[in-house]
Amino acid sequence: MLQVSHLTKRYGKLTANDDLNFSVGSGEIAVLCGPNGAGKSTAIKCIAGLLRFQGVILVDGAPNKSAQAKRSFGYVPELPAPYENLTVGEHLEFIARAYRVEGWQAKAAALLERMELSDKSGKLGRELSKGMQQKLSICCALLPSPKTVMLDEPLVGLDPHAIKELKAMLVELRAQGCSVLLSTHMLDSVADFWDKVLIMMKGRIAAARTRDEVARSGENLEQLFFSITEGPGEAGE
Amino acid sequence: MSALSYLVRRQIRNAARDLLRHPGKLAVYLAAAAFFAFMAVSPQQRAAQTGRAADPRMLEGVYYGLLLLFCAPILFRSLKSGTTMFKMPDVNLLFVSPLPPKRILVYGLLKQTAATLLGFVFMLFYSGVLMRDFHISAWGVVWLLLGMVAVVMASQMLALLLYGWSNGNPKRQNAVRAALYVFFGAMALALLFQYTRNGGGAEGFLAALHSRWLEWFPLVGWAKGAAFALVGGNLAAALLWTALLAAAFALVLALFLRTDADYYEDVLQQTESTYELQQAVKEKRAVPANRGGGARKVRAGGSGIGRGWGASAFFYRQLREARRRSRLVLLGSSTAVVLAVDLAVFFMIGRGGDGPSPDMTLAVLLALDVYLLFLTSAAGDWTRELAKPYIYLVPDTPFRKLLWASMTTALKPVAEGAVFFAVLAAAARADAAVAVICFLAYASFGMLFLSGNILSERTLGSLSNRGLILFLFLFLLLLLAAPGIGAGVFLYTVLPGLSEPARLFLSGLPCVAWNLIASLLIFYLCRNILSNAEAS
Repeated sequence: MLQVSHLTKRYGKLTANDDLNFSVGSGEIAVLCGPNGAGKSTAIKCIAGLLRFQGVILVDGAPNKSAQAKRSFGYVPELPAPYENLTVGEHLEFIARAYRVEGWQAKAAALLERMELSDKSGKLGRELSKGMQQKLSICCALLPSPKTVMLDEPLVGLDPHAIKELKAMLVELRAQGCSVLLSTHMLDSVADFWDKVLIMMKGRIAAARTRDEVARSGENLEQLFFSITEGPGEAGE
Repeated sequence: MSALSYLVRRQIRNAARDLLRHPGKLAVYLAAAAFFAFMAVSPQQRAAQTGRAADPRMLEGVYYGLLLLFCAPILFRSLKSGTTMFKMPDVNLLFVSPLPPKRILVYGLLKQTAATLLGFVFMLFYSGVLMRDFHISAWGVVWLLLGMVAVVMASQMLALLLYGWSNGNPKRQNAVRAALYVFFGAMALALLFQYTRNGGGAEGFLAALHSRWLEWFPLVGWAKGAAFALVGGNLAAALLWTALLAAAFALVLALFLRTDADYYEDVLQQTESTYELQQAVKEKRAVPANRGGGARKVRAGGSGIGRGWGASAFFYRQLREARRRSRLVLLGSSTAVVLAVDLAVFFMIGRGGDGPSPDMTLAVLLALDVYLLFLTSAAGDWTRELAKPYIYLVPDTPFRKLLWASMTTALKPVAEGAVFFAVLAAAARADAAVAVICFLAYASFGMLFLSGNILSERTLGSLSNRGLILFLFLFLLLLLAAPGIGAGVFLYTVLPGLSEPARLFLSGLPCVAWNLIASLLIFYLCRNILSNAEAS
């Protein structure tokens, strides 16, 4: 369960996030979308504990910067950047040690298998292509079996197989009761499995809708997005 | 075993294994190590034969200046983007992990210390000069090196503290800026005061550099005091300065942790922009425009390129960009800095009674300027041009594109040389012929280094290790410049009957001729470098 209350992030005079309020329940996939510069990545970085902010962010009931919260969330960053001199397998071993994951080997092997990285286990971080780095980043985020997962543009750079596999993983996480927050521009890629959409404009949540609400309105995700971001009543919720 | 120690051990082990798997790379590293070892050992044997040591106060001044050069930019950067001792993988994997932030900070500090030490290894290149000319022992060189590392580390920690405190608060930023101006201004005043107090001139300047007053300034002064006390075997003074330095570092660290254990944001921006920059360099992409946080304001000035057709459009476009960077087009802040260094050196060596003649002073300054040109020759409009696709796409002959795209890079030393040697000749009252030959030599070295750059792109462009390329590039430039310099020195020694201006002028001519001939030859041989991106 992820709960964001009155999240405001300012850089000097610029307000990147302005009083954001939303929650992602257990077993729910929320999609954070919006035009470039809307504040999506800043919000995710605040939630991941990388930035200072005003407001309250709770992950499974604990403040997001506490060790307890960090143990229960996984984060897939926008810029995948593995350690250059660590092999793929060693990245996972490192994560297992840092998060104190017992019996991690089988889980790591399964993750690598699904992301088609099994044969790359001995490759150094610097030898990986962008797509492979992204796959490794996903494996690292999921290895500690997080209860909340945040993914910042995770589909960029992935091959079709990895996209299909990641989608399946997200659906499985939801089935296991995990809260998933996903930022993306690729609306059609998430059209099958999203539960809640948060559309950001100019640092604010311009609209928050559940799948049922959108279905009842007769629109689809893309139509809703354009009606909010390009329509006359941009700020209507 | 803790996660962090696992991380460190594995990275070191894998780096070593990777080196063993790439014998070519290993051979270059071993050759570089042997070269440094030779530089360190051979002067010890020669030192005994040479007579008296050079004035150590000169070394103290240069060392203090170097420490300032490292420290001041780091501290002033704290007003904009902080500093970083982390890399992107640390942000992505460590910062979001449940590991305690303080432990992660210690890891970052240790890693940065090791990286800074490695980064300063190039200083060992100068160990020969230090040992031979200043009679400094090998341990003395190590102390000087450690002093530099200490200043960089303490400055980075202080910058992080200042950034965390002032970030997003204009009043605090102004206070930090004012404090830094006061600090460095007081240092300049202390130097000036000591200079006038010691009677001015070269002696006054050297006495001022040696002054204890300068050593009382925190960080830079303390590090310099500690290093030179150790070099001179003054253990008590070394202990005092080291204790002060350690206390300052501990205080900054304690304040930082007390006021803000939540430091991730303070290092994030700089880490991200450094990462983007490194990726751009590694992948030979254009460097992101807003690197280092906060794009610099650029004067748009006039608009339009106005001239050029086909390949020549590159030249006129570069001129338009140069006009945006500086009103004086090819001259800029770097010109002013080099000229200021020249004047300072002239002040130091050229005005004493037993110093070199005005003409020889000009020749010494030429050597200094060529050395600075050598160190900065890896950058330039030409190098930047290769990072963008247009140079390969424009439908013109590769040779014409090569000539036009490298024109501003070739003309810059011409314009700078004219300014340097006009001003310096007037200041030193040197012979006009010497000024002319210095100008020609400087301009021709600019041409030679540019062609060396083109040759290195042609021969080393396919290598992926940019550090290795830079090392080999500088080595290549040394090889290219050696015949001209050798011929000039030889001619100077065999022409004792002539007046000094005539000797200097005549001995400069073969150097200029070699530089131009070698450059034109390289241009011709590399004329197809722009036929496709893989050729460079």
